[in-house]
Amino acid sequence: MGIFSNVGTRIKSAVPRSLFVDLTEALSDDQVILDESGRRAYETDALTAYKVMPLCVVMPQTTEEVAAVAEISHRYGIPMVPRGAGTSLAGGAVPMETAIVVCLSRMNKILDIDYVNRTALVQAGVTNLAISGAVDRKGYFYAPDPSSQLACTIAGNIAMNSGGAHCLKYGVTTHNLLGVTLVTPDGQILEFGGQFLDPAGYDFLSLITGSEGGLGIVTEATVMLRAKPEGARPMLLGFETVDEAGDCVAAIIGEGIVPVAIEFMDRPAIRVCEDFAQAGYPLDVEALLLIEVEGAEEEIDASLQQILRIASNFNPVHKRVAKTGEEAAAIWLGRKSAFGAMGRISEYLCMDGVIPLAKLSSVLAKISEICKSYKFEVANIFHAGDGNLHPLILYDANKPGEIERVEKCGAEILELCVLAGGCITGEHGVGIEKRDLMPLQFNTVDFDNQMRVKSLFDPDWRLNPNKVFPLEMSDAFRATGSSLVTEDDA
Amino acid sequence: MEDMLTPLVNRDLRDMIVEANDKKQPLEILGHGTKRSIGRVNGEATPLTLRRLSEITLYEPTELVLSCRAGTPVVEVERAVKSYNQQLPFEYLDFSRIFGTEPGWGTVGALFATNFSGSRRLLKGSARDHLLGVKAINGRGEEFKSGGRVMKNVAGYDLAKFMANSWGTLAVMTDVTMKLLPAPPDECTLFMYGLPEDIALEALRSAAATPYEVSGAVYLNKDHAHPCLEGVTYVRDKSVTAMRLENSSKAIAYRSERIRDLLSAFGDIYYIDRPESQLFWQNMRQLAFLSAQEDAIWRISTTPRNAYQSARQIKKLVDANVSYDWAGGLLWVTTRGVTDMGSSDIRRIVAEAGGYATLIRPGPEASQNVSPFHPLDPSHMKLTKGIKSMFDPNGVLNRGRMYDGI
Repeated sequence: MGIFSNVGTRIKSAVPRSLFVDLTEALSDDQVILDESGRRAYETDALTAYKVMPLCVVMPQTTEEVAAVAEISHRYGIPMVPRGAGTSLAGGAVPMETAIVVCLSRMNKILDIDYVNRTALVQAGVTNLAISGAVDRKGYFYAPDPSSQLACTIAGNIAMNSGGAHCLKYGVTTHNLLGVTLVTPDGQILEFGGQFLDPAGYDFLSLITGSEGGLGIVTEATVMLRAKPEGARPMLLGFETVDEAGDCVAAIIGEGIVPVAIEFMDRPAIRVCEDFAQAGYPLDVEALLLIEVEGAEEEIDASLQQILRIASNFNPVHKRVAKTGEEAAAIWLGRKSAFGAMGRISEYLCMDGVIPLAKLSSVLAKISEICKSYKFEVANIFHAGDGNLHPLILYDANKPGEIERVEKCGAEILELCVLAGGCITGEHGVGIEKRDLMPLQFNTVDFDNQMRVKSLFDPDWRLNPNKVFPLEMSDAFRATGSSLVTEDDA
Repeated sequence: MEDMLTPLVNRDLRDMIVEANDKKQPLEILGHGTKRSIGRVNGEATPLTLRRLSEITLYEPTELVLSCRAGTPVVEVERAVKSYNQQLPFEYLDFSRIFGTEPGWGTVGALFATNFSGSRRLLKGSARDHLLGVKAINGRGEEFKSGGRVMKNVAGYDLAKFMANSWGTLAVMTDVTMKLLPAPPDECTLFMYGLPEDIALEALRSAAATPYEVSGAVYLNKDHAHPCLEGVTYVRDKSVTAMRLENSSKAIAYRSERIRDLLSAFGDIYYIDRPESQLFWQNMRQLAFLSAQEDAIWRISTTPRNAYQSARQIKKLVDANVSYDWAGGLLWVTTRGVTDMGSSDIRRIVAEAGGYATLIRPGPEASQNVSPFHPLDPSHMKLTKGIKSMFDPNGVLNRGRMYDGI
């Protein structure tokens, strides 16, 4: 199809020069990036295996500027690819050679913090962590905490319905979002929700959240603020087998305890994270659980004691509760830097499947078999409380054919997750990375129902059009109204 | 007994929807009809009940997940999860005392289709927030699925949550998967009596803004308070400001003390222990405070900041009684003696403050002209119509239930 081949740097002659003139007039010179080196910075996201030079990049600073860009793109029939900080692991912000990249990173203002309503109104290009940073001194935080929270934007979080380690207790983006301002592909500005709960009428917020920038460009968001717990403390539990660790998690939840986070790491992951963060992770265990509880000191002590009591039935060979704030920070640093730490030693493909917890040990054993059959090393990091697996498959990007092989290996793992009763992505999104795997989870009727929604918001499919859905199926849908691919199409 | 379609399997249901399309005969989608009085019922429509699609199909207590057929009575799900000390965290509203139906008899499908969450919504989120996956048949007769049985799933558009609050106007859910939570081992409620409304709201907001996980924060005016306090020790003829804590006994003891300290300037605080606390919140969930009256009942979701001012303005213009849930984010308003039940004033005031008003029960002077659901602005109405035409192009499912033609 050639969509992802790097087509060089020349702007396609089919695009009239007046497009760029109009964009520059609507914004300002320094908000429209046309030169090659400038555009190159936007040719990929955190899924770096895919690179496409965009037609141009715009850097709006207000909702009205985004609307102006959308109106111009509508007039010229040019696609748009919205972009936050470009941290998508699924290629959600990988451009198209024919598209304007609408980068929201300059829309980074916190517009209003309302402590009475416990909400924050932010421009969508604000980073995830900046919100918590702004309200921290008053004792509040914004709950979803993807590992990339230092860099990733709320716009991207909304697009992918991002989660994080602490979403076991606090939910993912969709549970913490109250309202958005959305610019439609033809430049209208729509408001959904607000500073109140459970908006009237159809729940458009639930559609927009996780739509991967395919329905409109979110320019502002109202998010929920939560009171910070009095304290929080992580503990580490090491096990000799994966089974014991998995059973321990099930027993903790079965006994009525939902810690704020339960993270799982297997032996290879432990080693890499320990090398990086010096967190004091045990190196002689097969599985490590990082469990965090919150509350006042006495409450934390009581919860940890209860968890230790339950864990004692599963033969933990390593038990350590963080005694100081520094120790706690180091324990989390190890986990939160896992992807970066792994990146220091090798290229990797990060999977994001979800499985029912009861299938953990059988799925991990099969993942190991699959990777062995491809001769890839794998390290598993896992949000154990909610079944979200992140196998990191290590590969050598310089070796010809390796990217294709590692993608095939990853696809087998995700198929395994679906067969186990789970899904192909828990928090990273589909993007371009997993769009061809979507039929593992959905049939043509499921797709038709989703694509009709896409067509309602974006009749010309100009907004991030090549994401989420398999290309042949979206082509078929656009031609015939059904995503069923016939032999003629193929 | 009116004639009702009662599909036994999905294929029956699909055939009925296809036939309805062929004959251009609209359907009224029901569970057990416990919320039938809310919204407009199309008199021309043939009732179709999901009540025979009733079975818990999956329950994994260690994964906090339960799937069932959409026609399963909620009370059966509650019974099943209770045996594992778990609960439906959003504390769904039970309208039985208002509409004279059997408690808990509403179906799971209708619970999610209407998305009425109770007091615990403040802390734990709405019914919609706990909806993990659905299987449904749309107005075209197509069976589709969205979401799944795992806690996290961002593959494709979230049509599952989109079904929440769609009132059966887009698709008929046949299967629902939801997230559960462990039932807290203990609870208590702190009562304050006779606080002025604005002071009470300030107290509730302060409590809800602490890290002590207040799982209910309501103010009942003195007329509304009485029916909720059956079986509870209390001071008569005063408004009640109530805050619930649910946790381990130890945590509750600590947290209730902290809240007492924090709110000591607001007045005396009374500690209500578990049995009476449970009774009080059960009465809240069953809307006991609204059941004794014949007045029109409004449910208003708004911003806590503007709640008091909005209520004041409403009371200035309409003969109204107001109580609050969600620390001021939810108003229950009863009105009497006006033909439009205060609709035009209430909706104007609420729209200005941010939020919307739903007419739960019309009063005896009801005028048919009052829309039960808050009117949408033109851009949202356009999108709403567009969505309806995608899922149910011939308008056979619950047409008119929410809005004209939808």
